[in-house]
Amino acid sequence: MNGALTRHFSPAWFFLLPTIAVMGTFLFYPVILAGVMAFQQSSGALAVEWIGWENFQFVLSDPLFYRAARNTLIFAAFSIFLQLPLSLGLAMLLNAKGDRTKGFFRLIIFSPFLVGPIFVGILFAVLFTPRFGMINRFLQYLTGWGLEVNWLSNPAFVLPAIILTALWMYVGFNMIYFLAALQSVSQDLMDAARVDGAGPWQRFLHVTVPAIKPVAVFVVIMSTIGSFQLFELPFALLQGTGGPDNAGLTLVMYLYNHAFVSGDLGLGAAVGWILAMAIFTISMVQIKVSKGGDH
Amino acid sequence: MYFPPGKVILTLVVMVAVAAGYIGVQRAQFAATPPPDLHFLVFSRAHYERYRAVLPEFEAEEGVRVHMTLLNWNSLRNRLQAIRIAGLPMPDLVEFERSQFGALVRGPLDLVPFEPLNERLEATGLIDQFAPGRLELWTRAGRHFGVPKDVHPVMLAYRRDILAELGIDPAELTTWERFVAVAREKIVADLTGNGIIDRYAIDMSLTGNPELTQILIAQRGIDLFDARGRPLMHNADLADLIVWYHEQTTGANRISFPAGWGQNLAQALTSDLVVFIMVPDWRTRQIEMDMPGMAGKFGLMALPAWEEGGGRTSTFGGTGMFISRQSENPEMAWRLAEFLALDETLLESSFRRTNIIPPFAGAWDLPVFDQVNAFWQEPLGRRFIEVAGDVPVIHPSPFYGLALDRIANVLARLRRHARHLDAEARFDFVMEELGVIQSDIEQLIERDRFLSEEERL
Repeated sequence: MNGALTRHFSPAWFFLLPTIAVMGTFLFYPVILAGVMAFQQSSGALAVEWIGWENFQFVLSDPLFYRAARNTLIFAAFSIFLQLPLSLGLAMLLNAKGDRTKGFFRLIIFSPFLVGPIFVGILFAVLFTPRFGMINRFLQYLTGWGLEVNWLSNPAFVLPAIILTALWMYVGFNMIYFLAALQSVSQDLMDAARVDGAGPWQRFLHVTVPAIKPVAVFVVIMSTIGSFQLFELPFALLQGTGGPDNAGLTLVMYLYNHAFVSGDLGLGAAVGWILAMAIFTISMVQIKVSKGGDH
Repeated sequence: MYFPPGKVILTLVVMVAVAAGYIGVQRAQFAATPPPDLHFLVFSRAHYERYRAVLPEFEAEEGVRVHMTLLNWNSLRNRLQAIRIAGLPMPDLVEFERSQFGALVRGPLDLVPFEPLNERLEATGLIDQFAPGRLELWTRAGRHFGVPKDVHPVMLAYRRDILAELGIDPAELTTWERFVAVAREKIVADLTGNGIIDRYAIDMSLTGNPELTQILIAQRGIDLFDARGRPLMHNADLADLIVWYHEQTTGANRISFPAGWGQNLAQALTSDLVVFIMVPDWRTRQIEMDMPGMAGKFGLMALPAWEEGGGRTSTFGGTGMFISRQSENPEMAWRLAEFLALDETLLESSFRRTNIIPPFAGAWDLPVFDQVNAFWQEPLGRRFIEVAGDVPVIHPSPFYGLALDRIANVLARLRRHARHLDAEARFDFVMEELGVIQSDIEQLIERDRFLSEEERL
């Protein structure tokens, strides 16, 4: 018996135990509990009733959920198709050799990420102020229009304002990933392509892109997940509301409102599970699509 | 020294041992300190500081030890929600803000984590001393769970110098109709002739900042929920108010500018862009702090009524004190609540520090409320007390915030469609939208399986 135990007990388990304990307590247990709660209506620990799929039925028939999902998807699309190309472009600019100022610019472009979404949200709420906001004044100075634009009060401008703010905040963060990937692109391959007569675009497409693809896929997936989890930035920017006509309501804000403002945790848990499933599915699709070109 | 698993592991083991030792010492010290008799949670730094000054007096009188903790507004909400969800003991006494009440008292009435105070309020006679409507703010199904800490009546602050220059007597602005007419005729102006309006009459959020809209909704006598928590949004008065609000905030005839909060608001007021602003008592203190250079330039008047002789005030915000149902010493918690709510020294220092008047009519005779405020150059407390008796009743609901958000959304949608609609069609459009809100909120209420019989729709 003792022999069998010793044989099967690897010291690795000893070292894994703290991680398993922490992950089990703070990750797996809450996830399982949230799964259970999604099928309950509860009010405190003592008032719990099983209600089956009712929370999911309510969420999936609520037009506000679809509004939040639409806003979130639009934001995610802009993150991937606007923010990431910009990050890559900046990374390529700052990857150029011989420029002594690039360290300074890397820091400047990355620094918005350091201050955090709440601060950025509050800052941009001030910048977007009609009449006095710096953005409005700059627009007015440049084009003769824009002084009175109510970015955060006009449903048509709310999502663009959030996207612009997120762009300012996250473009430098993603740039760092691309920069690291670009620095690992083999110079020999680049030189060989140049000798073979490949132009800058061809070198980018056939040498750079394949070399940075694993990082790019990682960044796309992380951006997608981050976009689906968008909360603090619009929350601070729109002062805790979903904005006019819920034009800035995201899925996590929808979850927060039900779970913590109105106090219906079961409903919040159901939204959480739907969100998790959506992120999981989209990430799987992205991984599959990105593998499709590997031959 | 030889350690077979290696130096890294040894370092980790040493770090864990040091951390464990430190925690052990801390725990021992904590265990050696006698536990306090009462735990008290607050979210307002101003309250915390003033309570801290007077708590030793209470502790000495009662022979107890009170442990008071200050938490940020959001942290307090999260802490209370977590306590409620996990069924952990609630601190003996808690102070929180009005918007949190509905969610914190959801669930079966007998499992609400706070003690109903009806008997205590009746036994002490306090029940008859509150300004009207203040107890209702903290009441569910007839149970008064909170001791009100304020009234927060709303008045209009105006730029005294600008009105004098324009020859406008604020005493004549008795109704909103008159106010709008005077605003259009004399206040709203493009002073430089560049096509940009340089002066607006009043600060109003374009999309109806939920809290600011709520001021007007309440003043108009519209309660969004009844005493049983049933929604009352499908309401012609509310539709009329929304159409009115739209007209004052949109288009060439608008009289308002969305000045926002903090520095933006300060800039709008100091640069003469906005002349009037709605102020509850607490906001007057913010104005003093944000615009110290404007001392003497502001005056106060009652809100214009919706109809001649109608209500001239509203309310904005509110804090209450709650005794935990699980408190081991509810009697002492109640005595502390009474002390903090009624102690005259505390009420006076509170007013001096925050401009907030107390909710007890019995305390309104204190001389401090008649003192002339140096910034406003009038007895600020008395001015708010004059209207405090007319503060409208607001019934709470877990869905109150949602209802206000949805009403703001109606305004946003009305703005989008307004150009295609005449006045009557705008009203119909808003009524239809309010009907949808009502039905959606009814659906949310119907989902709640823990409502008492009297609260069911």
